[in-house]
Amino acid sequence: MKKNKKKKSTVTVESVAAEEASLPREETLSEEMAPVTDEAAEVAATPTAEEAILPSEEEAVPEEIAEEEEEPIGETEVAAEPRIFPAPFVRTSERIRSLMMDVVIALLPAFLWGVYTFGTRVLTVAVVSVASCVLFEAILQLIRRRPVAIFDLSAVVTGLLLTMGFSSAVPIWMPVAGAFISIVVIKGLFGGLGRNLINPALAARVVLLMWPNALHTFTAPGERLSGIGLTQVESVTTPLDALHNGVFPGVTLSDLILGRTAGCIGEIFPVLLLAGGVYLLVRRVISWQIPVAYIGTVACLTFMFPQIEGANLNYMLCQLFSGGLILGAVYMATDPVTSPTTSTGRLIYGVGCGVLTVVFRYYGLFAEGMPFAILVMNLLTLLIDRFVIPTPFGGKIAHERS
Amino acid sequence: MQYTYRGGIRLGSHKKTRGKRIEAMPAPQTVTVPILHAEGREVEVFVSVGDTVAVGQPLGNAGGGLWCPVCAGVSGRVAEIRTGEDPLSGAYTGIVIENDGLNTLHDAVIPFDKPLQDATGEELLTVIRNAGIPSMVTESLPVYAVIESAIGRVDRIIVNCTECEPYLTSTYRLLMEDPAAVINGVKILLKVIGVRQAYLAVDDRCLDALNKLEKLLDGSKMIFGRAVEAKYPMEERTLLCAITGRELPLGKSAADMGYVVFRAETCAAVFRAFAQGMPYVSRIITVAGNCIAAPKNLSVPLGTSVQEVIDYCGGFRKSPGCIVLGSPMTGRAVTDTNHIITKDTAAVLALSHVPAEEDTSVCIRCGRCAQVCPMHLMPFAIVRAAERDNWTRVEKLGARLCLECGDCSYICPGRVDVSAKVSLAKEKIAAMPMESQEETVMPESEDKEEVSREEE
Repeated sequence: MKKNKKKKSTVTVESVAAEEASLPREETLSEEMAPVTDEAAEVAATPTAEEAILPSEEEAVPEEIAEEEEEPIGETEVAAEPRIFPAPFVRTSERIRSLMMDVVIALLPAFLWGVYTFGTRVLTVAVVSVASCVLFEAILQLIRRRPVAIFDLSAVVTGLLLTMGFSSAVPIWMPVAGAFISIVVIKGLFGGLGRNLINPALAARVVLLMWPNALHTFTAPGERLSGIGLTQVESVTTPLDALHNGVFPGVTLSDLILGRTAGCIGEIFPVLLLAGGVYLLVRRVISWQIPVAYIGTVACLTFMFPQIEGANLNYMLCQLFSGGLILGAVYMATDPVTSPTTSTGRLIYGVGCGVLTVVFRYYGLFAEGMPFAILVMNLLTLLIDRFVIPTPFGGKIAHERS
Repeated sequence: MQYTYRGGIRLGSHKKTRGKRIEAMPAPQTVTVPILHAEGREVEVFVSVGDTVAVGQPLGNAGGGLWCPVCAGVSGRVAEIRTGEDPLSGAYTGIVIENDGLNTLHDAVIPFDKPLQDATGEELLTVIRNAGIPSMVTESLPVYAVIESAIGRVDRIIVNCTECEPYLTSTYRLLMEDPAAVINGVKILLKVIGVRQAYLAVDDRCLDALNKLEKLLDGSKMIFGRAVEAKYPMEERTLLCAITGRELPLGKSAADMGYVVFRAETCAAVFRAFAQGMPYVSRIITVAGNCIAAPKNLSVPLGTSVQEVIDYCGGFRKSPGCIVLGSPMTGRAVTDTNHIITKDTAAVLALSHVPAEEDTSVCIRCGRCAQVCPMHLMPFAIVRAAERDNWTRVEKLGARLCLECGDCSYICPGRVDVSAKVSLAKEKIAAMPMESQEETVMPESEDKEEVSREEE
């Protein structure tokens, strides 16, 4: 596109130069130029026929205006006295709250599928986890004498992401502990929203791995639990566990894709998660670079180096759609606070996440590698953002100094 | 193919005054004609208190070494000469004129009566020079100085007829109501500069205005209409990039690329200087916002007080949260409505929406500011580096290039005043001495310190 433009403009430069050479300048000028006299001024002053029908123009509101809503700058609408604050005086209607709301909306289908598959206990887990996240956030902000900003919904998203990574048979103290770790330790102590170095929900999940048996007790799909307390449940093997043990999961590929397997509450239905991701892309909440680079890298690596010989494609698909890869790639790795901000940086970060996920899944102690991979890349984000600086308009800065 | 550039935002329009004809506001009882104190230039005042002045009479020279007369927009008696500070244009010497309502014309206000093809370039330039038209593109330079520096160096003129900011409709109305003035102004400029191509860049939200222009141009081989995407900011650099597809290299001016950029208003003012002999004494402003009772497009004499303008538009419909002088993206909020309309006052806006009293702004590093920055900078990173006093990094991130367009603040979902903070950082590094050799060795250690502090 840009190249085309360039070509075109150089062509015209040449043609103009040629024209210029062939014609004496003054002549062409006088041909084109209307004499500027009083007459011309009068002509300009009298309204033309088109302008005479102006009233109708006034009525016809252009579409763009009709669609528009007022763009609120902040919460308060009316002030007694005009106030002074810096420009600009119009702002986009997008707020952090609306971004977070979009994430919640995108997560809901997969979450509801979890409720359907594993029973109403999932709802209990979610309520406990979201409520404790919001509560911890509010308490922390009160202690730090900051404005209580729980309505930006960031704590709700953390709570929901935390829930997505639990199994339905998780002891109920775990969501509370997870909320404490993510909101207070990871986010609060680093300075609150926007200051944390690593993804709070993932960090909590990794810390809770100190109790692997409690965290990794999975129920079979359709075995619906309810209430708060736990009856003894028999743990089943998840597809990811099977892969980790070097065998194909005992479910068909369609079961794997359509959420009919054992696993974490929000991770079992990749199609719904991807649909939510498309929604976030369309709403421009996330950019495509991280999920595409992440999932693409995992796909390439597992296809080229499968741990089970002879079924590369099948193995790759099983790796992609089991465990929390999709959830991580679409909803967790894309957390703006802990991921790079430039397109190039995001690609590097996505590829890094992908490589590490495969390495951790292949050689790690745990079946799942996603949380560790993303956390490591979270820490590298600072470094990526330090060195990947986009070229400014008109070329490198160094030119300006010389 | 669309003429556009990377970055920028297509802002909401809010242009409720699009259909409102430009009204000539009757000159108020007193006007305070501002002679702006351009940086490092002395102003001269030609009149003294008690003098009687006529419309179009030079009152002073704002150009310092350059000649740029400031003329009276009303006739009457000079009541006072005072100095003032305008939020947009800075310090000025104000000539307070009591309007006698007679509108007596100064002797020098006579139309240029030669056909254009017979006039020489110098003759034309003198007329433009004496009209005291300020350049709307290059700050504080009179337009004739821009023309002089362009002669022989450029081969094309670009006329910026875009109006990509919300609320503003004055350029659009000018194009709709008086396209001939703009085009004739361009023709004069073509003749003076001695080039044979001009592009009229109109944004794609004003295609009706472009049609009007093109109808008048009628297949002219010298002046072409160009519809550019209505992205904000659309100023010299970005407009050049949109039209030519090339980014103006750092440290180069538009003339180095063979272009000179004027605004549509400037062209119309040039034409007026020829057709009526009238120097630059008034400008078109948009008075709008949801607190103004009757939003309008007005042609007002320079030096009219903002209060008079608001009163003429029916006052406030409800009590405004902020009163803005200038454009909604780069203007200034004021509490005092006794300021005056200067050449830089594109609009007077009274808006109800204000930011929350409590500062709840937070940066979540979403990178939207970097996506929309027309200079492709990373505004949020500049702000963070400035907060940590890491000025080497501020410099490295290119804060000097910032256009202060305000796009980053506009787009920020966390409502951080990114633009204001970057501007501050820019001022700070501009005030610092250019880094010496020793200082450039320093950053390494500083950077390390920064990383560790960040991780704490």
